[in-house]
Amino acid sequence: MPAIVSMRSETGSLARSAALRGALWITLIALITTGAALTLQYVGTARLIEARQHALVDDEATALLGRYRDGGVLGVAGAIERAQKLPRINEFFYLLADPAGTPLAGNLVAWPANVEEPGYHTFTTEVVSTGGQPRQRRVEARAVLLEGGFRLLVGSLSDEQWVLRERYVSSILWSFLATGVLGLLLGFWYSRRGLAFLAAATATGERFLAGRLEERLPVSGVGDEYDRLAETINRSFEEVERLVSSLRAATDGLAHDLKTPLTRIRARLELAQIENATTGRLREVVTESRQDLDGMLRLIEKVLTLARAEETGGASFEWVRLDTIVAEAVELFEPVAEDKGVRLLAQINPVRMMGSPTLLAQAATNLLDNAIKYTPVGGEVRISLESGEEFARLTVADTGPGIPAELREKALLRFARLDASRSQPGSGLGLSIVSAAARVHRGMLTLSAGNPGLVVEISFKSVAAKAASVD
Amino acid sequence: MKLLLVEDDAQTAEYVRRALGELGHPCDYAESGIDGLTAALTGSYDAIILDRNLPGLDGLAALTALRAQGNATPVLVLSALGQVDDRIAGLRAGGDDYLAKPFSFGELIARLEAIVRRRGGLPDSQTQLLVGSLRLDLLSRTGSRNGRQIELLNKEFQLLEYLMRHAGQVVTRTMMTEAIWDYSFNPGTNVIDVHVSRLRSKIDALGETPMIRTIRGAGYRLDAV
Repeated sequence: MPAIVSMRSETGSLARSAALRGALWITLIALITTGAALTLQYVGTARLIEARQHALVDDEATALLGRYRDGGVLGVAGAIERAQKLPRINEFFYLLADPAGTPLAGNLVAWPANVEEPGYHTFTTEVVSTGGQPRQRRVEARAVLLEGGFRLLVGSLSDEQWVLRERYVSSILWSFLATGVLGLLLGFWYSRRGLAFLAAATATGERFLAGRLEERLPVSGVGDEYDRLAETINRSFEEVERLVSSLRAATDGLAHDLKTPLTRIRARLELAQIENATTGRLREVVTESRQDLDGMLRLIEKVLTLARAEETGGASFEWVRLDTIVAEAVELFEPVAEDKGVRLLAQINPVRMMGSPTLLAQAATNLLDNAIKYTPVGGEVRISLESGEEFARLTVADTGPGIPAELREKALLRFARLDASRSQPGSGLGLSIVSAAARVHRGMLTLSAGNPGLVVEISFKSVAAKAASVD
Repeated sequence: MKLLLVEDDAQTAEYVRRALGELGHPCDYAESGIDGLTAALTGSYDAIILDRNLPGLDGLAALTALRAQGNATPVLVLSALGQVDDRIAGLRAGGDDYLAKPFSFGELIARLEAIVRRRGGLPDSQTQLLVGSLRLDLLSRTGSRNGRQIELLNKEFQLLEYLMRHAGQVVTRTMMTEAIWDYSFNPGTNVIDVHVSRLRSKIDALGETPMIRTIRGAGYRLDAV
């Protein structure tokens, strides 16, 4: 049950999946950026507010200290009394205390417990609002030590800073939450195509491995990297399927084509044994069997040739003159055609390409051999080699019976003979070798109707482009 | 010809020796590369038939060793591997010819005779070949028989030259395909026969004795008549 296997692996791998890792990284980066931005803004604003407040408090404290210089402690107390009565935009808190901490003047009830050193301090105090409601307020105050142990405290409300801090904390929490959720969602959304593709690819691959060679990956048509990968994988699958099915057909065909002569040989020998054959008859048996064996050996030779052709790689290629190869083949078959009463017409243009000379010669001779074989007396075989900027095209057209459109594909398969009884001569490998030669040279092989007859065409791409890259 | 056969399959060796013996060519036999090399270096042979896949010292290694000793006995390499690359490897190691298994005795004998003859054969610097009444001018690439000019197409000329250089010997269709068309494969049924029959019609005028004879089961032979 490959489907279930793939589902399990899909969920099982979620925690380790690249998509989740990607989403987490995206989220983390977003969080750090947001946090840093908020913190910078908070710190900047907080410093500004603090500086402004300190400036106000310092001004007030300096004014009071001026009174102290003129009038001593009592002068300060008087100034505090007066200042408290003035309507001010900024509300100030004052406290003048003696060395024991007893308040002498000011609007604070007692000296705050945590204020011991001179300088700025923050503390909470209860303030009664105009409506009569007591409220806890934050105060930031500057403590100054006067002579004789007297202490002065001047401060103002610092709620703004507290509000700012609270806002900062809450906004950082909220934005972290929002960024986190959005980041994760976006990350998953972003990688969901990848996840879906990987899941599909894995499932398809497993089904393919399980023997369903017709399986292919879905191609979305967007044309992105996933599509390109899917297309590459699909092409590999196609090639595997083609090789496997052609191997299967080839094995069947080969078995048939070897068994037929073997059966004949065996029957012939058995019959000679049963009939107590005479020397003369035995000689016949030997000759006939030898012919059968030679046929089998030729067949095996061709099968090996085809196998070699199919695994020929570009690494063994060399620069060849396709026109020379074709011309030689034409020269070889000219008398054959003439003997048969078939006109052989050739039109050959120069073509240089990377290739296997043997394989190309085999393709050319096979095409000519076939064309002449199937063309009736008085008919015509035309072979042409055209070349352009980006291509070369080898065409062989005959005036034989041709191949019906629905059988053309089959004609390229190994051991395919178009008569079901397989009684016609020939191994059925000729066109397969041509097809293999075309494929390893990245050529397109097409069979079409010649009206009458068959037209076989191999078009090689970018021959000139390759030629230009010599040296 | 006195021959040495180096082949590890005893039955194949037995058949080959019997066939060669029937045809009047005594044949010594070695079963391994080492034995073969020893026999080749100590004995005196007209040609050696050397299998490629041998136990111990492999055929090509034995051949390389033989050549390194300065021994120039013609060697026909025999192998189950018959592809172009294998052929080239065999010839590079110092082989004179290469024959893929399975082979016919006709092919084997023809090739042996060709490589033996080639060693003591005609120098390549000749400007004309003469076989009986047939003359081939290698410079003007024309032929004549009994003073009658014979016009030859390119491949016909090459074919005739090949036959004349091997006059009196059997040459097989494969040998001709390889020598004249440089094909290591069989290009199709009877193609060579058609070319030979064309050549025949050109060199044999009415009333003249045919010079190229078909040797059944083997190939052709050009004789001085």
